[in-house]
Amino acid sequence: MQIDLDLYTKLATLAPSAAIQQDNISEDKGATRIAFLRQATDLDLMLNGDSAITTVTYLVEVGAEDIDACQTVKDQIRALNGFVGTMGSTIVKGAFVNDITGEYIPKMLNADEGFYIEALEIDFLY
Amino acid sequence: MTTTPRAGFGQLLGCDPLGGTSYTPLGNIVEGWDGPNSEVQKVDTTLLGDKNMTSLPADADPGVISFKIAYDPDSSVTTLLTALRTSGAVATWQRTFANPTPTAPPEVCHGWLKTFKPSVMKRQMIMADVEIQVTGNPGFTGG
Repeated sequence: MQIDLDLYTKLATLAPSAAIQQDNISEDKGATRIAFLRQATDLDLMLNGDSAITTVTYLVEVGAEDIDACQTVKDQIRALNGFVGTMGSTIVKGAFVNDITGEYIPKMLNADEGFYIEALEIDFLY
Repeated sequence: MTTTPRAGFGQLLGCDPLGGTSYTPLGNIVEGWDGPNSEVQKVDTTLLGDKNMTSLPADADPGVISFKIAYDPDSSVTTLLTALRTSGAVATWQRTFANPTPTAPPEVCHGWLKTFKPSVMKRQMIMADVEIQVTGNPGFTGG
């Protein structure tokens, strides 16, 4: 989906020091990593078939060997909370960020021993 | 004749605010519509010695049609409805069972706008609850 590409670009702008990849991180990426996964997409339609508001939920996982670097990148991404406006080709009507680190089990980092992990869940309405 | 199962998706509710037959389809209905919830009144005809109560049908309340629309002040469909609230006009309402291809004529009734209530929630599309008070025959096929 186009919003996947737009989010990738947005994350690269917000956290330029991190390596970013959708769904997984290959082992040759740098130490600070962002992996994002589209968890759910609600392509809501109205009764006549016209599009209503689409809601997409992303899981964003940040991993780094240094805890400060990890939390800094997380905070950079958290700036998306309350975002309204144009994100690439997507007109976002609302972005909501939740910090889910406390309850999160790492999914996407494939060599995460010794890494600090932070996790965010982001809902986009567009 | 066998019954064709029909899903609600794709059915059409149209309105002519002038009470005629030039219907504007309400393309911004979110989920569907409910009604008219017609209810026939009951007259009790039980006699004093009757063990079992008896009754007869009397006049019928044609009921209301209720639905939720995507509220957009820039949309002519939204303003069609808000104008009905102001004018108090009795409009014509057409229910077309278009999915699958209609084989029966649409159902038609008259009604005026009774309720219009927008709601704004931060994580949801802005919507408005609408209720149409039906006046006269609710227009059910065969009824």
